[in-house]
Amino acid sequence: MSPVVIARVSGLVVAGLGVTACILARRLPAQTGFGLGPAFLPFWTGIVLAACGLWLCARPTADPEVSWPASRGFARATSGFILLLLYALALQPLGYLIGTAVFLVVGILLLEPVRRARALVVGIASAAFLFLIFRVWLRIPLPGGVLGW
Amino acid sequence: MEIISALLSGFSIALQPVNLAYCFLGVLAGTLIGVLPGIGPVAGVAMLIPFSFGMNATTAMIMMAGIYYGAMYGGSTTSILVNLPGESSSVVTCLDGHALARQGRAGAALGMAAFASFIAGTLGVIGLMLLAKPVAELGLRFGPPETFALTFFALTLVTGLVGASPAKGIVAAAFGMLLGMVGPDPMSSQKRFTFGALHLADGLSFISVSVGLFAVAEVLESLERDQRIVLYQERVSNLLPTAKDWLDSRGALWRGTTVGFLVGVLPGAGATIASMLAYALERRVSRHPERFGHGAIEGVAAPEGANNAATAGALVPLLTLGIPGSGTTAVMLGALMIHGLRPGPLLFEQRPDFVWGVIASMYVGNVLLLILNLPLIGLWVRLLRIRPSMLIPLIMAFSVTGVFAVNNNVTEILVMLVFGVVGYAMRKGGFPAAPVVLALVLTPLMETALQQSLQMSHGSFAIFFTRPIAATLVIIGLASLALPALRGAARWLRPTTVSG
Repeated sequence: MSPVVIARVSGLVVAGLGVTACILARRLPAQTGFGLGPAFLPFWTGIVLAACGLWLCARPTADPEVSWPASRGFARATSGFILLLLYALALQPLGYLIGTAVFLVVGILLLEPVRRARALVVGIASAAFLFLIFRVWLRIPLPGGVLGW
Repeated sequence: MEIISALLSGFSIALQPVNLAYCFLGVLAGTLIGVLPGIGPVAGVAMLIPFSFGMNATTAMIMMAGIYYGAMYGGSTTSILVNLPGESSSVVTCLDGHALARQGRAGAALGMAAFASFIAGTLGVIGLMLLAKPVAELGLRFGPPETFALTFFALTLVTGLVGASPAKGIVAAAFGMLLGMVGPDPMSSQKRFTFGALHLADGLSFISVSVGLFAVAEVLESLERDQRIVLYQERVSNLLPTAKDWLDSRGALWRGTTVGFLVGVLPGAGATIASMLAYALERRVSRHPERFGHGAIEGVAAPEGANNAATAGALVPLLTLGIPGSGTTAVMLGALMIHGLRPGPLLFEQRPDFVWGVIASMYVGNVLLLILNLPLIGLWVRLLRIRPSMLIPLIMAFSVTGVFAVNNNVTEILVMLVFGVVGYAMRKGGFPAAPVVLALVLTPLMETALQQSLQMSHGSFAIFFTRPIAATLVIIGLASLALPALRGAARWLRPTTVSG
């Protein structure tokens, strides 16, 4: 996809978001006993978004500072995101300490697959360090999971 | 005299061991955030907010302010040594700072950056001290129409100043406004955009949104770029600038400080714009503009002074009017509200301990930063040798933990991830993220002021044009929106070709 096509598509997405905001706002009361209703600001914000979206679509400008990733780069970003998502979902059942250690070890290996021993040591030590800061020092309740603490 | 005694009482608060410790922690974390490319002060402050949960508001603000101006000190190190800006306000420092490093004068550039930061930072705090009281007194005369006008002014200005395309700035601010409307309407408490989700009933947490938009998006982008490790192996020595360096930079220091402070005070503009304007001004007034970009020491002094002075300036609207002027101060405002403190014109009368304690801590923090950035420069240089493969997962684990701590809920992490993807997509589309956070924090205040104003005027919008302060702010805001639109329309009327 050329940068101009991408700029047009992003304009359309923005316009779509604006129209959706307007439709949702129309379901809210326009007036209340207090005066202006909760629909007013969302509706007009939606109009501004839709207008800007259409403008960007009509006059696409390719940003010279923005670079688009090669498929390999995009795959790395996607795998990083999936790992983060799995970490978030596993935090409660596994517990903070185990979940974070596993995330760190896998994350380091994903970026630098050759140094396994170092990934293991750094991952476990960093998870323990974060646990000490947040759970022990700041007393923030963290998911206990299988360990129970 | 009144200011001196208030400042002295501020020092008695700032020098309490706990406040001194958190000031040190703040400037240390700020320097770290500044030195490491990727995480800027917005994400840094947002990520570290959970650290402040057990503190009182004064200690929390001392730490957050420390992170903010500490990041400005640290940002120059990476710019000078490896030509990679630690954060956006150090981008222009790369031009001459790295050129000096290539000429074997890295020490002088780092030294000048630290001294310029110290001098401008300290002068900026003096400016904050002198300007804060009169602005707060002006703020006392503000009713709902002026508050609405000021929030409108801040939002319109940030859309025009951030990024290359004003339309994209407006989109970012409007998107942030919609996010700020999620949850109960401020007057009627009617739920909006919650889609029946219990988690959204009270609105979106600005911490999850800002960490997502800034930290997660940055990590996704650096994963995509597959950054090669840039190691700086040479020894850094001769940190003291020469007499000629000082002579060349003396004008740049004054001009950088003045420009930086004034730009910082302006709602909507921040340290990045301050540093760029200061650099551009320096090149324009220089008798040897051709030296810029090839190792002119004043090309380091001006932007580094400006970005530090801007951080002090940015605290003027935050502390006196309760209006954040930048992404970082928006996050600070949100954090203070978590602590039950609402900055505004009455703050000086109701909580002088808070205001003067924070101001005094900034003098202390600047001294601490000078010590951290000169004798300990070797430590920061070594930090640049940490491999991204270690750093990126650590930053993410830290972000996840911090966001989880907001209300001990995994859903917050999922919200952060959603906004990480949104932030990444925004970067790819060339949309700035700072207006989103600013609008998210300002919208509830703006909407309340709008509804109250219209109640006062029985529904007439003329109220915003019949009161002098409100009218001035609204007209400047409208003009800042209209000018780029008119320029765009004029360009549209001319035949153009779109290149891919």
